[in-house]
Amino acid sequence: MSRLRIDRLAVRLGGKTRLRDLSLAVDAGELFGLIGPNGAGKSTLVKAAAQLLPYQGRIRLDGQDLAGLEAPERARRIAYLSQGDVVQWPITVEDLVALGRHPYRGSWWRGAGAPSAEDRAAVEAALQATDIAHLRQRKVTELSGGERARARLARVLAVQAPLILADEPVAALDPRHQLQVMRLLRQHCDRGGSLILVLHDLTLASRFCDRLLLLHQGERIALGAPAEVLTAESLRSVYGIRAVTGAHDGQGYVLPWACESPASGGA
Amino acid sequence: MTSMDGASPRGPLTLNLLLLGLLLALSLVSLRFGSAPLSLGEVVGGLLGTGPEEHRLIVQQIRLPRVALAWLVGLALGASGAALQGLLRNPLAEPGLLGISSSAGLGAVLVLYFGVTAISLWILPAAAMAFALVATLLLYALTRAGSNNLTLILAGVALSSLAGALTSLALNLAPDPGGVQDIVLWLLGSISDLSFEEVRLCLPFVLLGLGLLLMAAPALDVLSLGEAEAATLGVDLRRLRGLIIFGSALSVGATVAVTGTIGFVGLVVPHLLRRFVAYRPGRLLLASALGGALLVLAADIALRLLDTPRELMLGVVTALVGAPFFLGLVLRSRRDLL
Amino acid sequence: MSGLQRSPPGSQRWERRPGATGVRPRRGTAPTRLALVLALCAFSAQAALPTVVSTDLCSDFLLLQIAAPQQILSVSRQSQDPRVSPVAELARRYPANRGSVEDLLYLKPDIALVYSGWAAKRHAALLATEGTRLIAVPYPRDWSDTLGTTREIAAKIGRAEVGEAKAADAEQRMRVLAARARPYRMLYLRPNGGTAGQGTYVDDVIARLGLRNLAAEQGLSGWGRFPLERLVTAPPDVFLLGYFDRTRSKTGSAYGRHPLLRGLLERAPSIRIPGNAWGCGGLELVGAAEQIAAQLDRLTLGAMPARGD
Repeated sequence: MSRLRIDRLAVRLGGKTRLRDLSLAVDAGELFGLIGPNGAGKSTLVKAAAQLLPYQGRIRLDGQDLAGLEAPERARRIAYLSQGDVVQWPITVEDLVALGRHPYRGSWWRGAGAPSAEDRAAVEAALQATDIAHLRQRKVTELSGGERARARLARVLAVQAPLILADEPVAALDPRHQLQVMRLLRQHCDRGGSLILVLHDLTLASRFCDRLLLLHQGERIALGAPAEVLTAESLRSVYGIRAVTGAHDGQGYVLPWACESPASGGA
Repeated sequence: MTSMDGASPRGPLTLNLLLLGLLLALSLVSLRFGSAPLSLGEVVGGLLGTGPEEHRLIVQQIRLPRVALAWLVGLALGASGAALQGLLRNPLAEPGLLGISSSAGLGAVLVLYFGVTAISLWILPAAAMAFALVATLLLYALTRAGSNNLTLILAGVALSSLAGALTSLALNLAPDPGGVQDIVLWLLGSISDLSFEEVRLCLPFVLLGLGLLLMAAPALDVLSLGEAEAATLGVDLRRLRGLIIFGSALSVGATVAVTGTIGFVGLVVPHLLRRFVAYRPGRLLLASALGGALLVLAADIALRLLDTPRELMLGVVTALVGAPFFLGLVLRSRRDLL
Repeated sequence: MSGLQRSPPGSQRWERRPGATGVRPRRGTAPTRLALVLALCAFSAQAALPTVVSTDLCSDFLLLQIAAPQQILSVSRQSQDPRVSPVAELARRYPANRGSVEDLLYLKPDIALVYSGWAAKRHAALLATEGTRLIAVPYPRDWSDTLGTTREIAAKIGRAEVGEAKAADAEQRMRVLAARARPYRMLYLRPNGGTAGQGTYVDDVIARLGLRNLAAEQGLSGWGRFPLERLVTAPPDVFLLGYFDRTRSKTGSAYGRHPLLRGLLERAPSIRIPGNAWGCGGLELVGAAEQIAAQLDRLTLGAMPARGD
């Protein structure tokens, strides 16, 4: 049984169709990449899966319809990392990461109580995994961009959800931190977790993802292993680019090289 | 040891106990001062009912309600300010600046204007709370999408001016000039010479409002992450908004109905206390409520100690302290504003 | 500054402000038009008297008492509102104005009576070129101010004899009242805690009645507020309650509702005076004083109230 199963998903927002008749399945342990040009519907798909948008169709997690799941239960099983940097107050890194344990809190009158041993262990593990344990007392607003991205990722890891939805987690990072974060995400999947990831960097997508979904104007263009999806034809028709492709250490890379006039509408 | 099981839970507890201790001490100080020159012993005698009758009357029926109202006003304003700042994720949010207090004032003025308090005095806080609620809802609708400081303050300015204009309109049309002047003065905010009748009039609503606000505390912490991530962490955003909007409207509206508008408390207190709760908006709530009571009580003592020909209005004193403070905050966040 | 924040000077000063009320214009109803026509006819008959317009409630009171009907061109709209004016019926015989410069330019009186804080005084020169002379009616600080103002304004509008007669009559009545000693401490109180200290005509009237003004004794001056605590430590022998007849003030003012005050009012005798009986401090003060004296003399027929219980 696949972990996440999406059937005939359609999203309309503000009178515009954002996603059309989309079906896919993501397995346990899979790192699933969403690629496509701006406005293709990648973020929309992730938000729909996180139940942040109204949609048509069915989204099931381990066989259960997500729409029917209680909010705390859903929160324990799906962790979502939004695009952009939105932490408002200068709270400490540790407090930030500990917010990932919110779904495990009891009712409000117990909410103010001390965190459980599992909570502490989860926070500690997330801090270690993202290599920010030494920053735990620092204020989030005083971190560098890379440190903050890792802190936010640690917050997501602390949920210990079987499925993580991450919207462009490496967009603002320098190459070294991009690689670090991608490796972290890979580890999550290697331990049995599933991950749906929105990406713009085609090389990172090619190297780290098990499968890719190429979206264009809300529709599925291609779905499959990176090598099957990132073909010269799809890059030309969807992105309107020509790319240098190749392989290094047995892993493929895709280097956007020149613009080409795109075929209209997609495949 | 990490701070999670160390300082954090104990930190705010220590802070809150400290604030509570100061509050109790200052309440005794507040009982000490008034236009009748009572000694400390006479105050204690009056409080315990062992002294002469007139000391008992002064302490129990004039000074004690005053202390109680300082508590209620401060609790309401401090907690509402902190909660609104957390909800709107903006340190400049405050019931007075956002026009919630002046809207509540408008509700109260209308009730006084039409004289319907003759039916039941409870109509007064009810109207003030209803108007505060409408204002808060309006404000939330106006600022929810991309609330930056500028839109928030502009929305607050618009709302305050509207409430102010409608209040002036009511006063302009009032047939009874003497009554008008009473209302104008009342709007400036004062807790002097009030009785336990006024305390009773706002106590249940302030407590209810505080309860709603405190229930929102854990979710408010999570909201630091933004609405989307908070929602995926199981925060019911509609419930959270409801708690804070109703909680603020109830507590602020009820106190405004009794004491008039007292400004800036909800701005100054959360700002001063935020660092002591590690900037967590949820933990700030209770501390800010206690701190608000402390500030109002201190201001109310100060205006009695100041040797002015006539006692100053409490709202005037808090504004004199709070407005420069607000300006400083605006200057510091200027980049954000522009 | 504190004067602004603190307690009101009684509504008296307020009531001098024209245009504060919002009754709809009532220009030229049949009786007023008739009055105007009559007035104009009479005017042409005895052309000696200057025409006068008064622009606020207190000037209206004065004008209606001392002027000849034919010289009154218009009175302020406030004085036609029975809710605030005891002379509403009389005032309705004349066209109403809202106390604006435009009103004066349109009515073209020889003399316009305004209150001392009238905002449009800067147009005095303009009005002068149109033949209208502005006379500010001062706010009285005591009874002799009142008499002086009456005589002065009367002289200026050509009615010196009437003014003198009315003033002399009022002066005489007040002197009669003062003949009797009333050794009680009286406190004037409004529902919002407002009182009258030294330098107010209320203080003066209280003194002329042979009473002692508690507010002044406690060191208050001007229109101030009497703290509740002092009421406990220094209660008056008799209360003089102003404006307590208005339900709105009653429910709107926590001071007036305070159980402590209620308790004191139950124990100590009190005299009520309607809100508009002496709000302007004009000659009507003597009427108010007579009312107070009559009520007081009725109250204290028996023994002098033992103070304190």
